[in-house]
Formats: sequence, C-alpha cells, structure tokens
Amino acid sequence: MQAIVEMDALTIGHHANQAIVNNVQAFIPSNGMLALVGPNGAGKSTLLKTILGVIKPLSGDLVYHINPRHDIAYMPQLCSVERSFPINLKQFVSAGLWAKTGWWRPMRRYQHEVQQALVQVGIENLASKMLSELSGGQLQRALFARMLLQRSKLMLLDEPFNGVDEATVSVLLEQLKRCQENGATIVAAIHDLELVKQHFEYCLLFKEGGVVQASSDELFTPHYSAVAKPSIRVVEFVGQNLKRAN
Amino acid sequence: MLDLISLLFAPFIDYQFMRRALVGCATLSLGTAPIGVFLMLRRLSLTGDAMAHAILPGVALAYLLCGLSVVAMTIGGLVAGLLVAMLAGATALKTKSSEDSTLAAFYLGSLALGVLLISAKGSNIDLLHVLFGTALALDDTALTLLLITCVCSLVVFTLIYRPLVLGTLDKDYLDSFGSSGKVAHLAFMFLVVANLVAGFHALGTLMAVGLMILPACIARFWTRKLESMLLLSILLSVAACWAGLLLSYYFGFSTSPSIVLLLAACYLISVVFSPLDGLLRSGKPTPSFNHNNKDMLL
Repeated sequence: MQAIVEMDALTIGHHANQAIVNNVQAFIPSNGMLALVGPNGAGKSTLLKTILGVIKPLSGDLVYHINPRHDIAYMPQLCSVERSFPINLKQFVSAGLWAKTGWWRPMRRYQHEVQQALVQVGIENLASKMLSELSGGQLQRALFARMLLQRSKLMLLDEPFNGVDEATVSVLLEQLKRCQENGATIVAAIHDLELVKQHFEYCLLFKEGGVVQASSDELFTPHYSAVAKPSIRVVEFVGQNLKRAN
Repeated sequence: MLDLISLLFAPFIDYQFMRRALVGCATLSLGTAPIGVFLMLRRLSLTGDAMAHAILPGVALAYLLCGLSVVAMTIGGLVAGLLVAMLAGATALKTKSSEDSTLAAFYLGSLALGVLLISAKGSNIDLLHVLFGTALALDDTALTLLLITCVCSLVVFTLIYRPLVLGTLDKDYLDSFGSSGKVAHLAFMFLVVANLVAGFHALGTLMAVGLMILPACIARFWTRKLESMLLLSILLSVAACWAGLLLSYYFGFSTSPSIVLLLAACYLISVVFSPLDGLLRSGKPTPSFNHNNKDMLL
C-alpha cells in the first residue's frame, strides 16, 4: 500500500511543553479513506492542522509524497466560520478558488466551477442567500463545496458530519466517494463510529496521548486487541462508544 | 428652500477654514470608514478605541521634543500605536493570556505615560488639542497628511481586501493557504493606527475612533451586504462631518464631539427603526452567532 503522507515519531501540540499526541507512527494510504477517531481534545484537529502545515510538529517528521503547499484541501469545523459575516453563499464558496486567484487575480473566469461545486452538494438554489440565513447543514455543504473547488489530491476534513441531517451526510459521503474514485485521498475526523465502520477503510485511533493505526474492520473485532497490544484500551473505548451510539 | 440651501452651504462657501475642515474630515472619513467596518466585523470595535489611546505617548513625546509639529507627532503616534499592538499581540501569544487583557494593560500604561508626558510640560490646552483635535484650524501640512493617509489607506485596503474578508470569515481556512492571513492582519492593524494618528489632527485621539467605528455600527442596521455596508459607512461618515461642522458653526459647539454625537444619535435611531434588526421591527430577530474573539492581534 502506497503512502501519501508518512508520520515518523511525530509529536504534536500547540505549545512546546504541552504535547497532545506523542510519537505517532502512521501513514495516510494513497487514495484511501482514513478516519481519525477519538474523544474531544484527543488531538484530531491538531493532527489535521499539523499535516496541513498550519501547526509545526513538536518533534518527529512528516514525509509528504505530494506537494504540501498545493495538493492539500482543508475543511475546517463549522464553528470556525463567522456566520454573521455579510456575504452570500456563492461568494463564500468562491474562497475555494484561493489557490488559483490568491490576493488579486479575478474570480470571474472560474464562475462555472463554483456553480458546479454548488450543484454537486445540492445548494445551487441558495447561491444568493446570506450566510446568516443558512442552516447548519446548508453551511456544512457550503464548506464542503468550497473544499471541492480546490480539487486537491489530499482532502482533510474536520468533523464534517457533526450536527447535520442525514440527507446532508449522505450527499457529502457520496461526494467523498466520488472524489476517491477520481484519485483523491480523504482524511476525516469523525465521531460517528457507525459511519466509520460503513464508509472508511482505515482508522487512526486517538487515546491517552497516543495514536494507533488500524483498518476499520479490525477496529470492531476482538482480534484487534491481540494485533495491536497498545490499543487494548482504545478498543474498549471504541466499543463503549459504539454501544452508546446504538 | 433657498434659505435651507444657504443654511447648509453658506458657511463652506464663505469661510476657508470651514472648507478646510470639511475637506479634512471628509478625506479622513474615506479612509477610516471601511476600516471601521472590518474592525466591527472582526469584533475589534473596542480595540480601535484602545489603539486611539495607545498613540498618546508617541504624540506627547514628539510634542515635547519638536513642539506642535504635525509630522513629528504623526511619526510618534504611529510608533507608539504599532508598538502597543505588537507588544500586546506578542505577550498574548507567549504567555497564553487573552488578547483583550494584554491590550488593556498595554494601552492603559501607554495612555498614562502620554498624559504624564503632556502634563509634565504642556498645559491643559495642549492636552485638549490632542484629545479633541482642531478641525477648524487644519493647516496645509495637516491637510496633506490627511490626504496622503487616505490615499495610502484606500490602496492598501484594496490590496488586502480579499485575505481580510476571508480572515474575518474563516481564519482557520485562510491559514491553510499559508501566512496570507497574518500579513493581511498586520497590514490592517497598521492601517488602523495610521488612520487614528491622521484622525487625531482633525478630531483628536478620542473622537477619531468615533468616526471610524460608529458609521460601521450604523450601516450594519441598514444593509446585509458587505459592499453596501462599506459604501454606506463612508457616506454616513462624510454626512456626519458636514452636519457636525454646521452644528459647530451655528451653535458654537466643539466640532469633533458634534460630529461623533450626531453619529451616536444616528446609531440610536437605527437601533429603534432599522428594518433589519430594529427594536420596532416585527418578527423574530435574525440569529447572530457570537463566537469568541479570535486571535486577531498579530
């Protein structure tokens, strides 16, 4: 299996003396769908931002087999958006053209791409609505459309399915699958373990300052604990959450 | 009718000092109003006020060394304002303190130092001059400075417009493209300080911030579109300068408080009668989302 990004003894965190996750030894499989699973505060978002290059690793290495400056698209959490900002949906999604237009280049010539992205997630009829008028699900689709516009090889999604309706989840999953078919690699921080089980091939489990890599099938079998000893408690944790989710 | 027109225009036709005051204040409005809109949208309205106070020791020191020199006071104000912004941002970053607390600490210290410096040598009249400006006595140097600041400000504002919008809207996303957000924010804070420094010549340090923030706060009650908000805030700002100067001319009121009070009255009217969010509007208020202040300083 080919890796698109490799993490070698990676320790991450926001401040030098406060590591959130230690010594991560893992990789992102090329053209795969990888889920980051773990409780709030475990370091999923921090890992995504570290891969993105926004946060520097405290120690260890990240080896990219793509160009990290141009080939990574990012979908932040919904709460990072200032929803009262006076801008309409189409203008908001157009920000996904940043890599092409930057600070000054005109966006007009890419309007059909923006329209196409809106159609892909089913919000083309909301194009002129202001952000403050959109529901959480609609805005989540807009965030997704913005990321689609980047047409990147690696897509990093921070909790894309949190607090959204089932229709939105299925549209976004369908689009993620389509991106994967077109050669993209997907990494998403996800809380819903059923979703992980059904749609993601690989997992990174976050627990007590460490990360364990597994396939999604292994994640839900007793055998898993024997395969990856350090993760016995992780499996327990995942199992408990799964029961709770059911 | 003719009387009304004469009432509105005659003072500016008859007196050069009124024309100069209007040109100065209107020029200032062009530069400051768009900046005010973004300060408000970035939830930094009170930062504008803090920065207005922070420039005082630089101005005071320049005044002590060079007297009432427009250029020296401008440079002094710029240096002091930028220093406070950078120190507050860096302290927040290094010590994990909240930015509002570090900014409050630095600007209050800066303000006290400024008052101390002025009272060490100058008279109360000098202090009043710095605090409330001299819109009716703008000389050529001050007018030129206002014009240069306005042009530079509009040019820089246009250049950083896109990252400024995206950085306000979704800072995490902009950060994923590199350091554009940081550069734009630094340039923006520079514009805030530069416009406040230019503003103190006309309206004084205390009142200049009113011309910056209030038009934006009013515009938000009347439009939901960013472009309209920017335009409306400029128009409101210029109109308030004009009306304030007339008030000051006919009733002998101090100029800068007249301008800012007019804007404050406009704000109150908007709060009550705005068709978008006004108190008299029927139906539910539009949802607003009050996220925490993000890392805006540096």
